[in-house]
Amino acid sequence: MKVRVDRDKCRGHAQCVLIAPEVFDLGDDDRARVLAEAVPPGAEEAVEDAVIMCPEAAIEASRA
Amino acid sequence: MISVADRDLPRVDLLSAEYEEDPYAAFRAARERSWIARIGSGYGVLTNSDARAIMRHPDFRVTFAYVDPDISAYLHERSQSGLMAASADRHRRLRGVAVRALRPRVMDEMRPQMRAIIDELIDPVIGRGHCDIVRDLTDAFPARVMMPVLGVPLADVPRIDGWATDSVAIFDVSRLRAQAAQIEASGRAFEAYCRELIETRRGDPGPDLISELIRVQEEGEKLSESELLMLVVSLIPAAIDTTRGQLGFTLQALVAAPEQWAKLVADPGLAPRAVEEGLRYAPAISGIMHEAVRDTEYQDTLFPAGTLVGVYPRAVNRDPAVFTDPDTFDIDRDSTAHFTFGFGPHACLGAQLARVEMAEALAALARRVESWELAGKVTHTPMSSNGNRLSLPVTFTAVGA
Repeated sequence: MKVRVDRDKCRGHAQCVLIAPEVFDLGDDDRARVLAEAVPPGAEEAVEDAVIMCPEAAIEASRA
Repeated sequence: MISVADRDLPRVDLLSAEYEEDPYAAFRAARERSWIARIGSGYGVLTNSDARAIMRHPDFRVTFAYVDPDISAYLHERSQSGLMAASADRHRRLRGVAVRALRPRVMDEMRPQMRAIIDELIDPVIGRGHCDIVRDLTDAFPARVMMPVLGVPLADVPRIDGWATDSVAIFDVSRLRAQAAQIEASGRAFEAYCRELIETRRGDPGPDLISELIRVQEEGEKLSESELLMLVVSLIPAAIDTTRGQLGFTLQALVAAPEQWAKLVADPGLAPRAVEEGLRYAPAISGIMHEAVRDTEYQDTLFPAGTLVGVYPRAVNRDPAVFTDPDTFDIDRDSTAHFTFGFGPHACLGAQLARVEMAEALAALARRVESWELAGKVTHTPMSSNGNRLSLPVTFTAVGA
């Protein structure tokens, strides 16, 4: 699974960081950044939750 | 360090006639003097950047501490058990459960149904050239969309209607005090209804969200019986009352700005922009309270533990530091830095769904109605509460008429 954050949409609610801290972090600009574009095994479900929960719909994930 | 109580600050009186007449002007006057104002027994943030900072601040948290047991032991207890008041771990778990239950209902698959509902609502009035946009058209829309998704019989909506409005009174400090007995009675009746509904769905489960939550609860671990009830009690009003209120305010702004409506008629694809600008310009929520969890310094000011600090979207969404010409409704602007859905870990769970619903409603209306003209006085519930039950009488010209 691959994941990306649209940093123009992101406002830094940081819900994704709470849900999947192994995949997302807040950058210096207070917007989310992806730690590893290829999602580590076992984190797929958390990433899917983050996609749904993002208040700005800023996260895209695709099954490779 | 000077304590916030000792600072010379402007005051905004939410119960004053001036505020009722124009809350935006009241906040604007205060913001010209300070980033923060005295409001009620607490304070209110007036600028966009400070709203963001307070809502991210580790020493401020969302609170319902003002729902004092003196007002109503029942409402106090209920406010403390809700999703907004949950501790971080519990909040994350419960929010995850609610969101996962929404997962199979892909929003894009719901769009045709949303459009069909607006058409059904407008068909009976389209030929007569006048209506109350809110009462005749949009008020029924969110319930018609969302009750089947939740697993609530549409026939129950008239009963639920008043309960849904009352249950949002938990955000409204002034109304809560003035009408505690009525709000408590309404809350108890709604809770009893939800208990019954859960048992009905348990005996006859469907593809709906409440049935899904029941399945999660019966699997154990993730959701207790009382948490299941709390989620149902929270989700039904959230799905009805907030969206219809926001749609009403957004349409009020669109009726008042015919050139903006004309843009939508020319291109209904602009509906998401109109939705976002409506959320910014005319939020259907008064404020979200936060409290200092310990003595906290912010902006060279001491906030003693327990100090209440509200974020009021009607103030911070009009901050000229972020929005050029903030008192102009303009669907072409970048409206996204508003706080109508809150911010951070407690930001609205249904934000995307609400956006899709409102955009489909506006686009469907723009395909049917060429122009609107106000045909009477706009009335609404007090602005000190959310103000979100509107009446919006208009005359209109149908497309192709």
